[in-house]
Amino acid sequence: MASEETYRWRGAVALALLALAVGAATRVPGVLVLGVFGVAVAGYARLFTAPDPRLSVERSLSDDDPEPGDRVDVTLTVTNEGSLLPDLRVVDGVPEPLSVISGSPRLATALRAGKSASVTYTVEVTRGDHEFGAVDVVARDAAGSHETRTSVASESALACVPDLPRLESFPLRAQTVQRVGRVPTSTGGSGVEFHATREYRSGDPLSRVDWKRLARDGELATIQFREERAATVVVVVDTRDQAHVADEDGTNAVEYGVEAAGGVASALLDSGDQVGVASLGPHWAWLAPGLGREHRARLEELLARDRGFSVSAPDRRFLGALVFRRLRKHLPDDAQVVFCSPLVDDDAAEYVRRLEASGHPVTVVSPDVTGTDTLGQQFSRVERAVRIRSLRTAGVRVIDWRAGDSLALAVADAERGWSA
Amino acid sequence: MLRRLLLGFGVVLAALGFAVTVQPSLARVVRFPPLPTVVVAGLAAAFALSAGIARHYTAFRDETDDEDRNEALESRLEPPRPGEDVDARLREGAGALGTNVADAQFSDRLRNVTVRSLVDARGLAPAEAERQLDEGTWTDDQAAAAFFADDVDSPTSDVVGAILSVDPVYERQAEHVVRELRRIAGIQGGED
Repeated sequence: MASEETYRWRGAVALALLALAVGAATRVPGVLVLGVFGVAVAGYARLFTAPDPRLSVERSLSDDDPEPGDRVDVTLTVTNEGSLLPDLRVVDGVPEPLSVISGSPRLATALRAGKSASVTYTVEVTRGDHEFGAVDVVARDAAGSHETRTSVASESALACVPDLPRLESFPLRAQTVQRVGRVPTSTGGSGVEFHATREYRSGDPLSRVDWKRLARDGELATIQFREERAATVVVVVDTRDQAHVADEDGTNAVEYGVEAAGGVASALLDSGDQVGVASLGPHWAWLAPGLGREHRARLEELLARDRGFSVSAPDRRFLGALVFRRLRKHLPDDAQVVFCSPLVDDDAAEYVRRLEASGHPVTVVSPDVTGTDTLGQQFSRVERAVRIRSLRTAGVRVIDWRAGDSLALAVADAERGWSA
Repeated sequence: MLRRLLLGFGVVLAALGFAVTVQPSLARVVRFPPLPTVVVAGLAAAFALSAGIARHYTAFRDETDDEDRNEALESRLEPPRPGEDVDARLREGAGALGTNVADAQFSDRLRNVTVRSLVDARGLAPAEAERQLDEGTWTDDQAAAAFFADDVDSPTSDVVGAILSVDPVYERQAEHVVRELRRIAGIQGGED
């Protein structure tokens, strides 16, 4: 709590005294009265001391389990537990990622002892944990010559943990672990896609005997299918400061990156692949590849609530070399990487190249948040297009996802291009 | 200051009082004005001066202290659009004089992207792409070519347009380069 004099009457006092001096010297009654009145007001202001606000604050939320985009009404009630506060100003501590779309989190009122005042405003919810901050209070005396600034703690939190977005399938690069899955390999074995035939060996199941060939040539042969194995995949979301850029609707590219990561993870977990997730940014986050319902829930929680995946701008410096080395250290040797980045700077493309060079096949999912309204936006779009072209030339798969379109559509389009 | 003034004022009055007490006829010679009025006016003027000086040196709280936070309260906090740094530089007049650092950085960035585009899209060697840029032969657009080549002049219409409008020649040339790059990079249908 800090109290101070506002000195708001100091100029008025000088003028009043001047009027008094002129009035006395010239003996003009009007000027003299004006001066006396001014001095009286200044004297009145001096009578007060700095107020000592004793307030209790209560905050209520209309929904405690909202989905992204939902609107939640926040009601802040301030109760005066001390003496009369003739001039009270209150500002609620709205979490930074939440935008107030209706009403105002500010309140200005006079509040008698024991009385309460409320203010209601509406916020639009975004993914993540949002803790409301302390309520800032400024109280002034009746003359406004003294003020006290303080903050009143009021703990409230809004958690929004959306389910992982649905994505039917996600195409992976070749390089798999020795576990049955759905990534086709160049090895013959059990599977669904035809691979080759070989000479029948004793013990081969009858269901795999090539009966047509036996009928045609009289030779006994066994059909081999392309073996399908599971993959280990780490989805890396670019959360560096450079990735915090918005599309024309104001949606952060990091939000698109997290959505893509959720969709990719969901599709791969459904198909039996081991999936991990990491944040490449100042706030490091990591979940080692895994399988199963529990792992899925952990992944969901991490993507929704970890600071590493937050759309709030990073509040610490990104030590690129250090974080990248840490990522490399955590990546299993056989892991593929799905890198979700808007690719709006050269460093992003460089990280992809280095991951690819270190033996981790990379697929990039790149939300396009560039625009064409200004020369700078057009230039940024060109730069991004050049980066994508350059990565594709280097053999990296890039899914160019136009922000606002469906990710599934972008994946299907890219897959068609790869198989063409 | 005020104390000294009051002290001086008091000493003079005391001396006059003492003199009048010793020699009452002196009061007629000096012709005192109505004393209470003078005292009130003098004191009021002194206090007014003092209050005025005090106000002048008062460190009032900066009204803009809370502005940043207050402005972000109701409005949605949006990150910048990609390319906003370039727009900001151009707004600040990058290229108007052609010599500042920001101008050089933007030119270098534009040149770098153009070389990479030519290498990727046309299969040129980087050195060959650089040469075409220096000679202005990488494009048929004279304004775009003039951005990198010293020997190529902007079309007269562009120069006149730049004089008539607020856009400097530099910015108009950069616009042409970006337009060409959009075509080469395949954003606007690609090259034939």
